[in-house]
Amino acid sequence: MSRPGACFALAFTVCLAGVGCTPKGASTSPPASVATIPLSADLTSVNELLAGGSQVTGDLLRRQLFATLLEEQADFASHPPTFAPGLAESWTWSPDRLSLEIHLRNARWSDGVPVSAEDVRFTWRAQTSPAIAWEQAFSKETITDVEVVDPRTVRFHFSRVSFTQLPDLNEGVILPHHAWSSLPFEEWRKQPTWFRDHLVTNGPFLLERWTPQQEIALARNPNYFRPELPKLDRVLFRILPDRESQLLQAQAGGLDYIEGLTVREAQRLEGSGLFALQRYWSRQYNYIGWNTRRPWLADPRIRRALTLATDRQELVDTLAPGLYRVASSPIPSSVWAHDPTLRPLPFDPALARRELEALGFRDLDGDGVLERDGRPLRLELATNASSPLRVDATALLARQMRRAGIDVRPAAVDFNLLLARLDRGDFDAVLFAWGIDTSLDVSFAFETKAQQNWGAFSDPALDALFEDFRQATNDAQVQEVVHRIEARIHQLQPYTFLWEAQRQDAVSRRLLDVRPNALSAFANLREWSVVRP
Amino acid sequence: MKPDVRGLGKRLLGSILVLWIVVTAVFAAVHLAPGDARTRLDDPRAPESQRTRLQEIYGLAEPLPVRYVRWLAAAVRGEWGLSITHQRPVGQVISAALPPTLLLGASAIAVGTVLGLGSGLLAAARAHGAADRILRWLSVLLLSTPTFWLGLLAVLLFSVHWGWLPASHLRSPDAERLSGGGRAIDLLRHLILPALTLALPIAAGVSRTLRSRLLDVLGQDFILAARARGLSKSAVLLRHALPNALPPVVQNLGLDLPLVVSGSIATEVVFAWPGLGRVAFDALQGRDLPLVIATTLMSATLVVAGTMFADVAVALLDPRTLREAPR
Repeated sequence: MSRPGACFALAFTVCLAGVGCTPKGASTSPPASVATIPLSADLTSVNELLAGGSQVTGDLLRRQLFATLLEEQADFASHPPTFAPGLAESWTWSPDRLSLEIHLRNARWSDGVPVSAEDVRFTWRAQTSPAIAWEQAFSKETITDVEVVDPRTVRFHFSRVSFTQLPDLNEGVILPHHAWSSLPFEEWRKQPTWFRDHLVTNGPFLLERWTPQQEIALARNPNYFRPELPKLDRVLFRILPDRESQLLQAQAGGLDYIEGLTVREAQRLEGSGLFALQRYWSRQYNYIGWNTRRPWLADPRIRRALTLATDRQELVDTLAPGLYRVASSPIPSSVWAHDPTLRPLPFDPALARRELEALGFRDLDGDGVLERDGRPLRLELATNASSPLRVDATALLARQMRRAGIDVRPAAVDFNLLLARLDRGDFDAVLFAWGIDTSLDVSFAFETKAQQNWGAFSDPALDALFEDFRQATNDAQVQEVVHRIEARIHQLQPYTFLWEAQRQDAVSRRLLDVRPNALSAFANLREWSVVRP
Repeated sequence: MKPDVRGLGKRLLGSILVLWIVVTAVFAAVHLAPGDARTRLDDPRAPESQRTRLQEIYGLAEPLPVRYVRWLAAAVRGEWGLSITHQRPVGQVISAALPPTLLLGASAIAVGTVLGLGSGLLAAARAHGAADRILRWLSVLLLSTPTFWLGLLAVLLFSVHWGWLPASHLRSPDAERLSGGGRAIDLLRHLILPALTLALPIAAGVSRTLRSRLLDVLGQDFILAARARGLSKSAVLLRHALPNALPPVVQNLGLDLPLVVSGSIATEVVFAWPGLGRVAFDALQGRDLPLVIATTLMSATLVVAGTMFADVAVALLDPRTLREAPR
């Protein structure tokens, strides 16, 4: 072999050896039952407080590797969600509801150490530490102290009674005091990999292997507090960023579960005969947000006319027939507090045109676009280019609004750039989506002072309603205030609500007992099993 | 041949200057560009004070020149900071991503070169014939086909339709249970499709350059002389024409080296190959500033190294290029 050839062969072998080495701690025993699931993005950290609030964090850390005190149920259609025991075996409120005593079950960490009240207090201290700056720290604002009563009893103290005390308390997984307290909080952000080396878990699974950008292998945790679970021996999450690759591999039988399918993708996978479809309503809605800094869009009558000019039913029927439904409010209709009597404004381009003409708009030059003060009624409708569905929706909306004499120009913008523009208020209208959680708090998008109120919408009456919402302490009060908030938003139309999304997942026919829900596609992963041959 | 140490030193200094300019420009660009992963919070309810706190923790609250000086001083010490999207030191992310990229790139260049040389020779030998026309059309097709589409087509055919090769990743889920040899074979099977996807456009480029250069060379006097001496057609082509036609091919290959890294983004995403291209792609998407800078520096280094490699290789192939220009 020539010298360059030999060099190349040597380099090739070194690379081959470098990438082909077996990771430390890999199992050598053959698995009995395995599910393989693609993930579009990798996990960033095994420590929830550092991992950000992404979906992967929620799906893996919060449900599979670590346990929470309580387990929120997805039964929020007709009443607030209930909570089942998690690490907490039982809980008792004080008569004034300013403290809650929790008795922990006899659970153990994966290294055999009992889960203790000290873990709960340590977790709260970490969650609220300014040095760590956990994203969800705001959910702990009303908790003034976490008191260790005895090794298995802990008492939460609150500054005030609120509707969200229980979900706020339950936000975040319980962290291992015995394993992680040796690293000062000031070092947590500086040494994120430290936690991988000191990982102990208390959820249904153990982290068997994590090869960054490749796969995350979970194995059954023999110390899990429900010994009959999980039913699967292993779950393999394979990082597959490209959607088309996910679909092709699913069709080839290499994957067991695909999340969030479009109508066309669902037809394709269902046609393969390998998958059954599962549908469930998410708590997400898509909307057009109007920038009220623009003089015309500051007028609620013009915003109302713009909503009348949009055929939301056509949008739903075209983009996702049979899958989505028209939205009418920031509280999706699948949520208990939504006012079912609230109806979306109708699609009526003639009425929209008449209302605009009544406000002084005229098509004087006959180009089909209304004008006022010599300026055409023209606006840009921006959305993130990474969502083909929303890009299609902007094109359809532009066509619809043209019928009412409104010149809408769709703009597909890079996601980060769009967010930067929204933060600066540099837009006319944006097609975007929000999701809500158990707190039902939508003030972040509509309250005058809210950071995500990109359109600078301001209504003192609505701000007062948000204050009432924060003071509400029981379900009836919350529902009543939410109805008033919905009615006010409906009246002022700071948003044109477009559609509520129903999620559609493909589940391999070899899997049993798969029940995804709005909280997570993998909400009951610990109960999944495979069909035995 | 006497090595030109002074010239090499000058070249090296020039390269360092180029790299410094590139990273400085990228530093300024990524810091001035909108969006920042470190302070972008997923929960819309998180208060502004949280974002400010994160900016303080990550040193983003300081003025840009101060940040630049600190970053440069740390970078010189080999401290590239922490990747927010990976939550690991940037050095660790790069060192984990480099071997798969080098393996993929080296394989693609090797396969692409061999295929390109073979088809270029065949096209030149059968110039204007049917084989030449087919190869030229094929090379145009391959050069104009987007890599991600080529990759998806390969997956569709070889993984889904025929089930011959794995569709993605470095290794099979059960690879850890295989023996050392079994693991290497498993890795090779995973390498074939992404390497071919990258190699085919390289082969097309090599083939077209070589064919064109060979046709020029074959018309020159020394070739006529070789033929007149009674040498066979293949001997003329391989021994006399090919060495004279190779320098531009090698020059192009040297320039292809960084493209194999940066151009492999689509391939690495489609095949879930954990290399530098994908790291760069994710870093850009997530505005992971330290990682964007580091991957750009890697790419720039490869451009510089590729150009130098090409110059050295051309000089070795054709020592006339080393002669000083007449004063």
